Amino acid sequence: MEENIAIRISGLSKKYNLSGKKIGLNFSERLKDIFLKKNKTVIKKESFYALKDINLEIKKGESLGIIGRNGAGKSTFLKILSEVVEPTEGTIEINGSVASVLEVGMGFHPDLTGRENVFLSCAMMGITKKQTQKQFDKIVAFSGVGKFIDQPVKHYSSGMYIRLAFSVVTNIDADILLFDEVLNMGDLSFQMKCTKKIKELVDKKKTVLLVSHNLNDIQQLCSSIICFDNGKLLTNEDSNIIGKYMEDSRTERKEIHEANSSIAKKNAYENILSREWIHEEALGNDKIKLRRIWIENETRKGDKVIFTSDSISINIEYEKFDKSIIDIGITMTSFNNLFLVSALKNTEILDDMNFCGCYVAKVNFPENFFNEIILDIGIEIYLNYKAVIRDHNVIALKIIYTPENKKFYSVYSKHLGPLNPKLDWKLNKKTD
Amino acid sequence: MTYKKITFESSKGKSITLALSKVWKYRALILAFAVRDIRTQYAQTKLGIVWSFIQAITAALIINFFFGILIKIQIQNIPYILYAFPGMMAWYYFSYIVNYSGTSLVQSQHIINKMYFPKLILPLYKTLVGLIEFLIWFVFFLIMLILYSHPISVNAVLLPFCILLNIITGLSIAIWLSAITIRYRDVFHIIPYVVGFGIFVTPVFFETAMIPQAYHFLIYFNPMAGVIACYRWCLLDMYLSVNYLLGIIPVFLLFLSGLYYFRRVEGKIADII
Repeated sequence: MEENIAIRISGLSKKYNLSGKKIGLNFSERLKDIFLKKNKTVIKKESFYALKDINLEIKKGESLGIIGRNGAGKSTFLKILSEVVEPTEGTIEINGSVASVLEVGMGFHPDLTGRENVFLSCAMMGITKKQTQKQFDKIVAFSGVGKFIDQPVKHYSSGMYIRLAFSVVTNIDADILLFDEVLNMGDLSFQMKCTKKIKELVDKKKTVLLVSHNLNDIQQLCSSIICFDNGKLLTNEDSNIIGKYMEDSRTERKEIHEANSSIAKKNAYENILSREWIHEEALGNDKIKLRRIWIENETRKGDKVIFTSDSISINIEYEKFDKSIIDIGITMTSFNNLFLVSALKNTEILDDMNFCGCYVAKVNFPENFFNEIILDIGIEIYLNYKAVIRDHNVIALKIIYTPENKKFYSVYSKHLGPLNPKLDWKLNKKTD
Repeated sequence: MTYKKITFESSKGKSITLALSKVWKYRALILAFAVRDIRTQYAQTKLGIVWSFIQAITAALIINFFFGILIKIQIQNIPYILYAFPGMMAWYYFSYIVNYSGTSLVQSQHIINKMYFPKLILPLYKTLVGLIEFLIWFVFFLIMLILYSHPISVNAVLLPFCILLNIITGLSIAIWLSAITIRYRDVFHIIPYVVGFGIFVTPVFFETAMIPQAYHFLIYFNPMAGVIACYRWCLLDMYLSVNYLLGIIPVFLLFLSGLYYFRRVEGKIADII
């Protein structure tokens, strides 16, 4: 194997047999089944592939982000790489020592002290006592456990426990590190510390494989991304996998939403760009009713496809039955429930309109404001400063790259984020 | 820089020697596990390892009272408790191995699912944990020898071999059991019988000579009878019959076939357990 390759995987598959239980047999029938070979019930053994024909090469110093929905095969993949389970078919070649965190605090025994646990988990990873001794101070320093190192870990706070465990794995100087969703643990400051540590490892040209559901972490830390989908592998060359992953999750969320909400059941999301309510179903109360909410493409009127270079407007039509003061706001939520925009209508400008009747509130977003993104748009309506409507999932907006610009953007695809505004840059030559 | 190649044939065709060499590579882990168990066994106890000593004393007192004083079993020219105690030590150690090594895989399934190491380590390290208690009992036996001012035999230099034989006898069953427990937990219900009733068909408290000559061969087929006879030959210089080989030879066959079977299922353990 070439020197610059850390892991090479070819034709890797993992098949699991679902246990074929003989359902409906009572005890005596089962005994007969065991002892008399006649009357044999035919058991169809079902099997499924957790991983199917994976081919992948990971270079030394590469940091690889692994995403995918639950049950897509991410953990099985890491388990095979760390030799916990054997593949059904295929070959894996690994160049270098591997440290894996399939679960933080693996093998820690509650009754042992922190110090003893450090040595134990190092021994489990095949590291000698001498080597552990060398790294011990570093491990303790990073964990921040301090004087508690000689206390049984069962008396640790869960944060301390995780910190110590994480510290062991990242400080033992392995060449290849596997992390399975470790960045979601501990408090915020520890998460940042972990991220920093992984970044350091990446900078030190260690090979890092990171499973995470947090796309921000993945984008921040990883030089390339793969996605598992029902045991199959999608690499970055195939398509924009982050976009696909986000869309998948959106569809799923939509399904859940549809199942949950009775309003949504009837006419929700038929056209995600607009939504209209018939009288009884409308959001609101006897003083205000929401009639319609829709998104319009301002640059290319009527076009349902929205590019990043389009200016858009969000329109809210409502009917008002008395003189209350109305405030209207919209919210925009990105894929991982991150609030992006929370904009409120300015009451003062419109307060002369606080009479009965139908109104349309319109808010404009300039062109080149968003990045390629899928947004849930919600609405908030306040009546006399009290919230009447507050639904963060009313319509949805999908913005894609302008085709002409796509090539340009893909060069900078590492700078993904929710917003990608065109700002006013000035370049001046300095003259002394 | 280490270089590894994992292929799907890995679990097949690997010889026992290769398996053992891998265990040897991980020998530090055997020790680490054993130390962990011994430490945690007495965690938060005031007396700690003294408890093992107390167990040995009470066992000796009860057995001596019951069989030595009440039932009055007479053994040649040796005080009864000195005759019975090596048998108890050996049986206690044997049952410890069958019990704990035999169930070690299932007990450690949370680690098996998350970490790689040769699985054979699990039944093996349990024998080390049991050895500590065995040695404590042995120290107590030496004290009793002094108390009864009974001379120890020169054969005692061969004691390590007896202990090794004891371990192999235990493991020959335990390795099979542990490999079977992966799929069939029924084994958990069998072990208490083997351990609980086995002591009464093994010459621990009685002497082979007390049984009619015609049935002696039954005793010879019991491997633990052979192990215990070895201990008695070793410590008390009692007669050791060659017939005990009838039980000892199958043990080695069982042991080797157990290793082979374990080797074959090892790769599947994490999937099934």
